[in-house]
Amino acid sequence: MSSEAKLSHTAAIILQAIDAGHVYGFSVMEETGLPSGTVYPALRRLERDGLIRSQWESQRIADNGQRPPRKYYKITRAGKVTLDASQKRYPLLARLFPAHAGENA
Amino acid sequence: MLRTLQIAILRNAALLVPAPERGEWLAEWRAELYYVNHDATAFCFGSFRDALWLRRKSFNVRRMFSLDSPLRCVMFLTAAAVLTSLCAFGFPSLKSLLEACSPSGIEQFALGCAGLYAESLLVLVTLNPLELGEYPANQYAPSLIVRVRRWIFLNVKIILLTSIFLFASIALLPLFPPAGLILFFPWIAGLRWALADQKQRCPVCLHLLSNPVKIGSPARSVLDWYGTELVCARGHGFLYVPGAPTTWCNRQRWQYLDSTWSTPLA
Repeated sequence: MSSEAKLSHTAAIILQAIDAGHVYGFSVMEETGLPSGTVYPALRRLERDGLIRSQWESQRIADNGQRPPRKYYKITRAGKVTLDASQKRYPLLARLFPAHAGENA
Repeated sequence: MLRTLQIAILRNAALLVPAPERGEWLAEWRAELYYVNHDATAFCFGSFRDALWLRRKSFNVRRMFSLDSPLRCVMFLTAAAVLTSLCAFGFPSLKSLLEACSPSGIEQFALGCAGLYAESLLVLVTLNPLELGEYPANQYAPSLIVRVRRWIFLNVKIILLTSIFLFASIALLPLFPPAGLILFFPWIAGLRWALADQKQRCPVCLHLLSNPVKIGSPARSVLDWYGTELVCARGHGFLYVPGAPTTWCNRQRWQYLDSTWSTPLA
């Protein structure tokens, strides 16, 4: 999907956050400072466009941590291409979340 | 207390999410809420925007006019009945007729409607045997209330269809006197549709059955069953419709399934 031109600044920030290792909705919210009403619909749009994909954490891992299983998001190859294009367009984007957070990616 | 309120907000927002995605959507938001340690209520209010986005995404005209759900079917027929009644009341001749109506006249009109309903049932039974097939009860069969609900649904459809044609003939009568007679045939067709539609619905959830699959071959009907198998998408059961009536299988037959089927078929 060639969506470089269609990716809004907000969507690009969210994609960058996911690529940086913030793989849960709430983690993306905390890193970007965007409200939940913006982050979650954006995640769904990105997933619909094939730029990210979601996967539920296994119940066993969640049970071990005594918490509910989470849905985590991962950038796809198409998402990576789009993100690279967005970084050329918004040069400061790559500097927003430079280090990988190392969450459960 | 606050957590209960937050869950309630999420549950309310979930009502906006299309039914097939609702469970997973709510699970995700509840899981995320578990980790929120500040402004959790504001976080929950954001779910409405997410739910609305999913609702908008799922919206399509074809689905909107689909009569798959029993509620949508009844709403569609009600809307048609209201529309035809508005057409009927819009004509000056009928307006003056209603204005001149005394309470006893209205009573007579109501009696006439009831008579028409009884007549429609009679016509339906005469032209089409009022049998919907075999629904043998097993241990997974629903309660009596659920089974009665199915007959209520059929009667509501018949009443609404009869109202539609009654109002349509009233509306057209001043313009075209033989309208009443001409509309008799579409009315019969409508009643037949009501019955055929009922036969294509799940007796438990009343949704239309889906995924028809042809089974067997007419050339082998002596040795084996052939016909069409339909399934309830919510896993309530299978419907077997014989390709040709035989002495041992002359009507459609429903098979109730246990609740474990709801997940694989969903």
